[in-house]
Amino acid sequence: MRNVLLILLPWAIAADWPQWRGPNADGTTAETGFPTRWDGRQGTNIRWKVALPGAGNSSPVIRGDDVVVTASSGRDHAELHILCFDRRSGKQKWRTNLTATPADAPFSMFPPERGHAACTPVITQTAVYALFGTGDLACVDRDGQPIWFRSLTQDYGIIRNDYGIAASPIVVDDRVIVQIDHLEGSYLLAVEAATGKTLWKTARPEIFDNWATPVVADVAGQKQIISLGTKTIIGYDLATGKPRWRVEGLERLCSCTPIVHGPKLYAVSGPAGATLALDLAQQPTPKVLWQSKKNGPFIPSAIVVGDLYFMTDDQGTATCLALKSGQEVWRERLHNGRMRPSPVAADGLIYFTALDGTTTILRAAAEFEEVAKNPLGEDVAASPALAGGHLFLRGDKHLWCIGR
Amino acid sequence: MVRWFKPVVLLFLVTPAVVAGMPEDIAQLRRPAADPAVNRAAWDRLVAAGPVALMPILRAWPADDPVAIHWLRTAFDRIAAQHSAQLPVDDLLTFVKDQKSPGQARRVALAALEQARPGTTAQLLANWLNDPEFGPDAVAERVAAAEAATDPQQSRDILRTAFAATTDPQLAFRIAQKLRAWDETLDPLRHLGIIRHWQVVGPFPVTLEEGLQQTFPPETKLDFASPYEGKNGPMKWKAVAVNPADGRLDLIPHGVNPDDGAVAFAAATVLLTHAKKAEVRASAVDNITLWVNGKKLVERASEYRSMYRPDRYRCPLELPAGPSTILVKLTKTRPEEVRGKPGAAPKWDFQIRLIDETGRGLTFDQPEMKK
Repeated sequence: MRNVLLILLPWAIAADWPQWRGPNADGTTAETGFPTRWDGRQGTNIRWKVALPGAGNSSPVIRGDDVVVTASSGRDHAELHILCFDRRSGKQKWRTNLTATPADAPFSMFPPERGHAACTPVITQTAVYALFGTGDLACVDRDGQPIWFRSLTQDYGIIRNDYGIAASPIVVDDRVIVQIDHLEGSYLLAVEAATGKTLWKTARPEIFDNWATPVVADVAGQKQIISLGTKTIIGYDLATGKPRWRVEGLERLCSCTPIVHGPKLYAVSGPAGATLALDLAQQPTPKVLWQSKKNGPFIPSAIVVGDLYFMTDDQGTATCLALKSGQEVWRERLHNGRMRPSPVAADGLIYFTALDGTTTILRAAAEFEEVAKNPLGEDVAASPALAGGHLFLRGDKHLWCIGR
Repeated sequence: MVRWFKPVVLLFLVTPAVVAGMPEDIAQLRRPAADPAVNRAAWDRLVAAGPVALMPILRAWPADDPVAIHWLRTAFDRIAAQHSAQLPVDDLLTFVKDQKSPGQARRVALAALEQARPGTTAQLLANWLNDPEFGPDAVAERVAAAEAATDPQQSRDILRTAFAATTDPQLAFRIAQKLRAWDETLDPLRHLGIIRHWQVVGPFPVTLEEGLQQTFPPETKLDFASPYEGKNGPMKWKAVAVNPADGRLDLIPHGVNPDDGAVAFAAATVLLTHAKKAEVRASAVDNITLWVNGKKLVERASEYRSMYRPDRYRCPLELPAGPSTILVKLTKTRPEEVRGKPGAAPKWDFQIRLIDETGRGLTFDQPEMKK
């Protein structure tokens, strides 16, 4: 019996990409007809391209006519921005600026510059929720006007994550879930989506720097938030925040968002960890179904299409595993360059974007088949978004809409 | 909403009552209510009041409430965007130039001014090298100008003034390195208030857990003549200096090897001619505990590793005239398992600097230390 279901967010429709990893929180969309050929350097098949006022690794989210992305700029990246562009023209519709709560200086060792805007916002029918590395959590309406603000730094102490926080907020059942994993007291927080009021805050002892976004699953009729962090997978009760189960077996650093697929959870961690497949239907503690070889990614999340599991390591080697067994189906070099963005999939194709902006498109199949390789001409650390027949890429300096 | 309807609503709302209620609305946003609907109602009225609200918003800027700042700042920006042709430019300029105004508010006002009068920022930055809020921006502009200058002498002159003004450690070292190409010897350590001379001892032959739990002799009595038992025999305090290239002191090249134990100490004395209010800034790989004149000011004690981040721990203090003793305890976490390519060589380093109330390096001396 399939007593575990992925929660399909009620406000997500096929042509939207409303949150980190898209409408299903797994990097896939049911939409079809996305571009497979473009060249950003030549302007080939580029619908529009707009300059961004700041840095960030946050990915664009799309709903209706709006494309929203966050950025930070200025001295110490203390200027925070929520930006909304028209999906068809790229024209800026509104921009909400915030003055950051004083924070640890943003990580600046490896380009592109990321500042304090690493978390992808969420867009709903009525609001945009944006979290910054400074602990500033903002809810604005679809015109960019404030609904509520929180400063998690002011409320719960300074956030010290060596690379800056990057777990994106998620919205479930009228509550916003935020995972703050850092060196001095990690926690999972649920606030009321309408008011920002704290509903519960659960400490995550012995869990330190991580960047994976939590996911939600319906386990035996109860919604759970599933969160990776510091060698561990934990299931929390959505209603109360209480931990329900805990499975060890990950590596120390968890950057990759896990995938809920039917009654199973697939989780990988870094650096270069194994993928764990869990049967969530086995409660009170899910059973580990298989564990792959330790050759997974550190930063890019994996993706499931059909009965196959795809991932790239950070150096550009892709691996395909059989979803049922974890057995390797193929392993091929995709690109001579670092991989940071997480792959997305639609219409039987998977889009793997590298840090240098090159997107390699593969057939989502048991045999390796490269469909196209498309340069952008700009570094890309954020993940692509697929919506309305267009691919949206947030580059180091620009937001791009690809396709006619 | 139909496009023409919004201005009509705004005109309708800009009534004497709305303007009269402005102080209350600003006060409301300055201390936001628990119910955000109350704040939003005040925000709507304030935005409807229009440009007349801009200067009162800036003057009411809260000192330390980020949520209140978000409410007020978004109201300011919204008004400025809706009335870009009616900004009180002269008042904004006066406010921006007043160094006693809150720095964040000056920054918001300057952004609005820049929209109204492009080029204002560049004009003002030219004279703001020592401005408490915009000084670092002005220095960054100068460095960029120096890097773009084709005349080496011009570049050198610009860098000299930028170095004198900078309070940013990374920038100070970067400028000093550039000027070294012209055989100019600047002293970024002194400029930044970095404590350069230390006595170090260690490692004490304990595990990480023991290191975090136990108290060690230097914590109770600082005696530089006293030897301690190490893994390979007695350990003595030795005089060392920070790396002049980055102001950090790595213990490993000085024979303090974390393979032999998890705890080490460093101690220094600074001499001030006058008592001063100051701030200590501490940075370290992994754990650091810092005492100044016997008072514990910073403690990071965890089994989990952390990276070196410049100026991560900050604490205000008052230093007396005469000598002050700085004691640092460093506790090293276990080395990480490295898969694939070998990682970088391990470091066990730290940096301590003292700055004054303006963010500049504090002036102090250090007594000679025996090698």
